[in-house]
Amino acid sequence: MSWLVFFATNVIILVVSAYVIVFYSKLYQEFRVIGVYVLLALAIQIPSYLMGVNQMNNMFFLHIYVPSSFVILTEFYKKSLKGFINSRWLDLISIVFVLFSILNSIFIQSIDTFNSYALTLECLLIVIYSLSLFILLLNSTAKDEKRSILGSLLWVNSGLFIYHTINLFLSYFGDLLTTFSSVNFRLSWIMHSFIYIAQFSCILIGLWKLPKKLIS
Amino acid sequence: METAQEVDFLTILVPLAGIILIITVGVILMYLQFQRSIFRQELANEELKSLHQKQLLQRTIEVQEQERKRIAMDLHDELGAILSISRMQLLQLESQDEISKEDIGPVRDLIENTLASTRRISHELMPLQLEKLGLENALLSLLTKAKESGEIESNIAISESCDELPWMVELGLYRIFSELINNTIKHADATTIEISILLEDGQLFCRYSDNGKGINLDTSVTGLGMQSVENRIDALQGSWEYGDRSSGGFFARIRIPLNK
Repeated sequence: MSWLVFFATNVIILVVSAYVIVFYSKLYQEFRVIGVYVLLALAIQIPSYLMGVNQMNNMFFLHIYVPSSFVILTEFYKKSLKGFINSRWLDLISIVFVLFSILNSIFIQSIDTFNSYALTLECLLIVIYSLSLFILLLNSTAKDEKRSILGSLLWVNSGLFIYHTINLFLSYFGDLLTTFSSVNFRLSWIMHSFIYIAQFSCILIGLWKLPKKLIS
Repeated sequence: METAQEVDFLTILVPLAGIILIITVGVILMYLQFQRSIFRQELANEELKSLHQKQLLQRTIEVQEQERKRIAMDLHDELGAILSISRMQLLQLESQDEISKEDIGPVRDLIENTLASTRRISHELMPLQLEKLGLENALLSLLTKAKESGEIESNIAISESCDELPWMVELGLYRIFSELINNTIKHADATTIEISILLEDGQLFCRYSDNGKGINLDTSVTGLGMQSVENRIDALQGSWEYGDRSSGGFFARIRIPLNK
């Protein structure tokens, strides 16, 4: 069962990446950033999967993935919330997070261990961003401004929200779960794969639903 | 290995509550920032709207003044001049002892010219054909004049349901199309004009197009003719868009709601 889930994870990331590569130049600014996020996930997923299959420690990739994905997603929210928030705050949060992540990898959770602190913080901040975007899109002024890409924005934001909310609790309870048994650890990774698939499915739908005028 | 009993319930719940609190505070802070930005944007929009209304009012006054000036010039140059000559000729006739038919002829010609000018000016002020024959015939008359002046072929299609439009709408449309046709004759160097008017679901959908040089959007924004068209559409609570056709030439699409 678990191999099927991991296989599906690779398939979805490959499909979304293929879509991004084909349509990248025609994507709207916000969604180009998401395209980069997808390609980063692919670049991390392939070697870490291969190392995992060969029973090698692949935690190193997570230490790269967490700060990089956070910077990219912050850029996505910066573009999506443009005009409604001072982007310098988001830049500052991004810089502080990267510094924290590096320091965490050097001094607290070494690169061959699970960087749960950085991951938890990343998820926490992305959940705040995504909830904020949902709230912003309830306002008619903001909705009117984003009308042409509203559907896509909601799908992508939903994907990010679902993934990071559940991942927040998975990474938060991760240490606790693994203290009980290794089965829980494996189950938490299967759960993670499910939400990973959900996230990239939402992103794919979001990109797919982009108005044809913008992809022309 | 640590057992379930050894896990302190509070050590799980307190940080979890902390996480939820951080999320809540973060979202509230973002929300407050949004509120300020949205308020600023709405304020800016209102100012822009107000400025636009002021400009529209100013343009309306300018168009009115221009129209008054034109009528005044027509009255002065045509009627005034002809009537002055007529008066002079009548004074001459008065001084004569005998008046023959040949003497009256030129005066009669001048009066007929005056009548023709009066008819033309009044026709421009309020198109009689529109009142008597309806919108379609009035537009056909305009297009016939366009053909006479510039050899412009035309196509007009008006749906039957447009037979009984409110007078103000008919007059507004007549003025709008008159201005657009005038623009085509003056600036477009076109050979065909197409007009269509369709009434559907309580809304009038009008389309005007020619095959001329198209429009320079930078200069047309400030052109009084286009502003006059915009003012008339605004007065009918309608909306419009215009620009260059992909195949060349100018197009305008006008939507006017009738049930307001």
